[in-house]
Amino acid sequence: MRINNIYIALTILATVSCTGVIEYLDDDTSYEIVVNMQTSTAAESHTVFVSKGYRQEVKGLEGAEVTILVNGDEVCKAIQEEKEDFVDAHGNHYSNEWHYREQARYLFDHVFKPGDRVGIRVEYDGRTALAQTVVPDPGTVEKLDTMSVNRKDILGEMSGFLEYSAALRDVDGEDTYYRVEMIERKTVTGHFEQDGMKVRDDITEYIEEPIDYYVFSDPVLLDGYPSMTDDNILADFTPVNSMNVFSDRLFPDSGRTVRTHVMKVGYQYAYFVFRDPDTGAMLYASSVDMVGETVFRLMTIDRIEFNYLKAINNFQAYGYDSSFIIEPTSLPTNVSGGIGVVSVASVSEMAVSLERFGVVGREVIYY
Amino acid sequence: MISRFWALAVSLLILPSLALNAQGRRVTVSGYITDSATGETLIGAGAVSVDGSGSRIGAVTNSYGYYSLTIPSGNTSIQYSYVGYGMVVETVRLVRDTVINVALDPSAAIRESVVVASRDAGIQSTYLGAMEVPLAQIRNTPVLFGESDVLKAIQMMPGVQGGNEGFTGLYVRGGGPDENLILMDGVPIYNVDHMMGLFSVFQSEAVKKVTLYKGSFPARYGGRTSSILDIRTNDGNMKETHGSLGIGLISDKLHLEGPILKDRLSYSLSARGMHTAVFAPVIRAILKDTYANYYFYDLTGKVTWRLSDRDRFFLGAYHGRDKFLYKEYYDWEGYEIYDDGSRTDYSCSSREGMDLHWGNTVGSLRWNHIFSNRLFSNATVAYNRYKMSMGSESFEKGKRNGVKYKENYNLTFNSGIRDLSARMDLDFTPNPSYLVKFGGEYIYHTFIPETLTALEQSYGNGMEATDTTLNFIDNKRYRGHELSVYAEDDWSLGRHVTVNPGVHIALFVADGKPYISVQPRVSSKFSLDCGVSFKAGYARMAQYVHLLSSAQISLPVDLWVPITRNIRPVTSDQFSAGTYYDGLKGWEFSVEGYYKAMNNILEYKDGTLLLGNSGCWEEKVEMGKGRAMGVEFFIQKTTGKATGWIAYTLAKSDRLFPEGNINHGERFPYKYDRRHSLDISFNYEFTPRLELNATCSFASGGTTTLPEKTTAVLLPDRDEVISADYISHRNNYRLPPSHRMNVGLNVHRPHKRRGEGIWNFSVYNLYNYKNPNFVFVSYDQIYDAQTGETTSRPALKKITILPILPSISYTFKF
Repeated sequence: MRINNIYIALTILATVSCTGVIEYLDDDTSYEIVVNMQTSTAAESHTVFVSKGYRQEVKGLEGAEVTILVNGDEVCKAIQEEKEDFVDAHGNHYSNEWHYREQARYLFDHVFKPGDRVGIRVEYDGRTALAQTVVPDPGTVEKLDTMSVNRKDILGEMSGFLEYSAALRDVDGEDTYYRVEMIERKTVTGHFEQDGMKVRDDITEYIEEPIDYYVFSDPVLLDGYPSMTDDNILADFTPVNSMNVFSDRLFPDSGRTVRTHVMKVGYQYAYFVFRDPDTGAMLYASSVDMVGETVFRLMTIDRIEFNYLKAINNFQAYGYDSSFIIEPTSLPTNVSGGIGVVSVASVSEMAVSLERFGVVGREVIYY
Repeated sequence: MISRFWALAVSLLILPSLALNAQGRRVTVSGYITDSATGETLIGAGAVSVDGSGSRIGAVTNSYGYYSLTIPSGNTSIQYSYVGYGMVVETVRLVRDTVINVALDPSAAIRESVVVASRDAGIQSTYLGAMEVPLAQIRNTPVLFGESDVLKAIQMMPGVQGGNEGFTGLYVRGGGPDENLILMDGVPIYNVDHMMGLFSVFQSEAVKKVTLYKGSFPARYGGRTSSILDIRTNDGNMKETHGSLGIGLISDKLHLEGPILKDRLSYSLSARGMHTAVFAPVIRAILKDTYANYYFYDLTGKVTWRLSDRDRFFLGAYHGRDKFLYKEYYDWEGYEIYDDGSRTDYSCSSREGMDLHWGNTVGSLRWNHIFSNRLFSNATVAYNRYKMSMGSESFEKGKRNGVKYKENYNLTFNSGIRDLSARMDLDFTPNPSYLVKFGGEYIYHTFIPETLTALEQSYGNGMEATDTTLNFIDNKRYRGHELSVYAEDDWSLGRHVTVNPGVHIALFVADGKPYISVQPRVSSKFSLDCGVSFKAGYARMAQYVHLLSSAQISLPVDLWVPITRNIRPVTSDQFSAGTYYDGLKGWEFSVEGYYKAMNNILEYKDGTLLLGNSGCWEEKVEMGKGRAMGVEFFIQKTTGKATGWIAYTLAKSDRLFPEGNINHGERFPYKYDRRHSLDISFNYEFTPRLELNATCSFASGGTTTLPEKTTAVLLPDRDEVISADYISHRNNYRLPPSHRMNVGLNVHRPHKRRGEGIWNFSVYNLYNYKNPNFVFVSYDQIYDAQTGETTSRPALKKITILPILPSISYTFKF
């Protein structure tokens, strides 16, 4: 009701007021070089996303010279990626011209380690943008346990979860910032039978993918954000910690056990679909086997990245455009001569065997 | 700490008397200084004793018109004077404490005061940043639609900004609008705005004195961190009935005051209301089935009872409202035929609408008692309520196939704050070198941030009848107890030096947690015989309530919330110093600098939705720091046909929220960080019947937050970017400067029988400059006649709601 009355009040004001143009925004044809990279010490291949940020739009910046610097030394050049079809985890190809409209991708290989001073220099049209960051010392995952629990989900219904308890150890002597990812690395083997007879060879795929998890009440992981079960009539617009970032303010220089929850599910339809390596045809397996591990990955990030991801939390709640009924969110940057955020996170992880999927079979089974 | 305080207080009270009693016999002259025509007490009037040797000892009347002067016994002349009144000299032989009540004649007006002016404000006072706003300036400053406005006049003072162009918000030395303690006869007013800030709630006809403190604050004030605005209203004419009736473009005013019992009991009544209040039937007749109306009104009244020379009672009240209504009515008849051939006949009348109203109700009872010639007291009990209420209804009744039915749905939203208070102030004058003020106050606060209830009624609709009340939001009422004591001493150390040390101690209990604040205040003044004086001061202030607001205009839906266990009191520490000169007759010059550090100020975190926050507001705000610094230049001409002033302020203000939830922990400019502001006020009296008033204002643009570019945002574990608005920091865009000139002409026409009529012709924003009130991004459709194509161009636009506004009004004074 308050929003309606605010609109009414502003409407009244608008009817008795006059408007004037301060400036036309497209008169401003200048742009900022936008440099983004989100990677970690666990990766060997990295992608730098480079764009041109105009007043009203952003476009991919092609043809730039992108140089990678580590500890002041030039280690390699990043090469602009050829525009290719998008390929999903199952090897399916999709045309994605749109994918390159707002970004140009520059690829390079290097292994970063904690303490490295990383610089990414982008040179284009006589301009230079330099992103600088330092790879932080990693916090540590010392132990990981898992336990099967039944509890209410975010819809208020009883469901089966796997609760992961991770014992963390903070970095000594400084303010530290973290992000948690949960990943599944699994080998899925599809069996193809008809009327009890094997009709073709098994097909095996290796999948590594992030998985969704919930933080119901852990104060460290929530870090001041509302929990995922809060009953809030305006919850759709309330920022939650969707980027899973937190600081060490509740456990500086010490250890702390945090808890996440992953929903138990039966085998999903997607795991039954395979692509024939010879013909490229889509095949539906009669049964699958899956083995692998669930990884609790603790990524230690710097303060710029921490503030950046908190800003993303706000964007995820109400969109990426400004509104007069929402306090604006500013974006930090570590790019001089441009904008954007370059970050290399340190990684510490621990894995347990994969347990959250149900019994094999053609039917999709839910716990 | 408390025991040391009491020891200091006792020392301040007793030691000076002991010391001076050793110097010879002294007597105290005391009494009231009043207006001979009305009996109204005069605040800040001077009483100066001049003995045979030419030695001068002076005093001024307090906020209740009472003075106390301790001088050597024997023959003396006492000069009583006040700006705008003729001087009275009493030659007396004093052998004992004596009461002398003096009435000054306004018809023998002089345009300057010959005595040391007010100790409370102005160049002569010890306080820095303390200003008395002349009533003539308030009444003659041309503002919107010819309406005089107290707050608009104060915005012309150095160090005071008006926030959004044309609105009444006060932003004093880098502080927010909720950091101003606005008092009406000593009682705080929470919401001082009509029409979302275009007008204030104060009627200039009811006002007797306006004093603004923005630098060093007297210890008797507390509860806010940026400024104190002390407004005193008329007590009522004790001699004759007088009044005025004014008709303007948008509102009418009536003021009446007079004796109920001559020289004993008087009343003062002021009323103001928008014309639209009486237009309801006209609007309904024109719009037929739709009715919409907006109006506001104010009622201010006081009864003064002069029981004796020692006792006076004052019963005061204020009630004001803004009201917006919208209703639609419709009747209809019809029928519906279903697939099976059956038919249902309908007839109904329905009503839908909403109403929004907000306002203050204040009541107070004061008692002035004179214990002795040296000890004066004021006791006050008061009730103060601000309430905002919104309601919507949907009502329908009728018949279906002859069967009656009714459906009713009402939604009501309430928010407000209520105070009950009791206060005691004492003025003790042991000798001319000391004026000790001390006292205490207790306030019981009740905060009602938000309640939202619905009433559902239904019967005869073929279903079970319902009559249900639903509570959607019923946030707990916060209760706060505020207890404060204070002591201050205006201490003259010889002819050249005065010092005002003081302390204000406050205890606030909210949410079961007590907060104690010790707030030292000190100001000093060193004056030379050539008219040059130097002042320096320090003040610590604390505030226990916050106004949650993010909009650029004052909205009635802004929430007043108290401190809690997690939200600490706002505090400020202000250092100020200045140089002043009043050695040139009729002129005053001053340069004053300040630095203010603020702690625990609140702002909404980045990404906060500005709605429905009362239930969880603590989680949506962050505490941080603010600082403000500046230099204020002020030149004033007070005498002659041409009077006025020039005020220039160079200032800077910023904020820092180190936790990182606002502007990623980095410092950013305050929303009303306006580097330069210049205000010129000019009054010229051509003849006693014709006077011109003009004001010019210039201010650097304030700040707002706008996207600077479109950027690419990369999410972790994603392979693509998303375009987003790029904002480098909060308040990153500086609005264009605003400036305007207002002109007014007053033509006085005395009537043969009695009274006079005053025609006011004024123009607001004389050269029609389009000052920005709001800024937003929009798309213009540009048509190219040559190509026949229409292109869409993004534009940064401004809304100007106050272009050139001529007005005319007529006031009849009798």
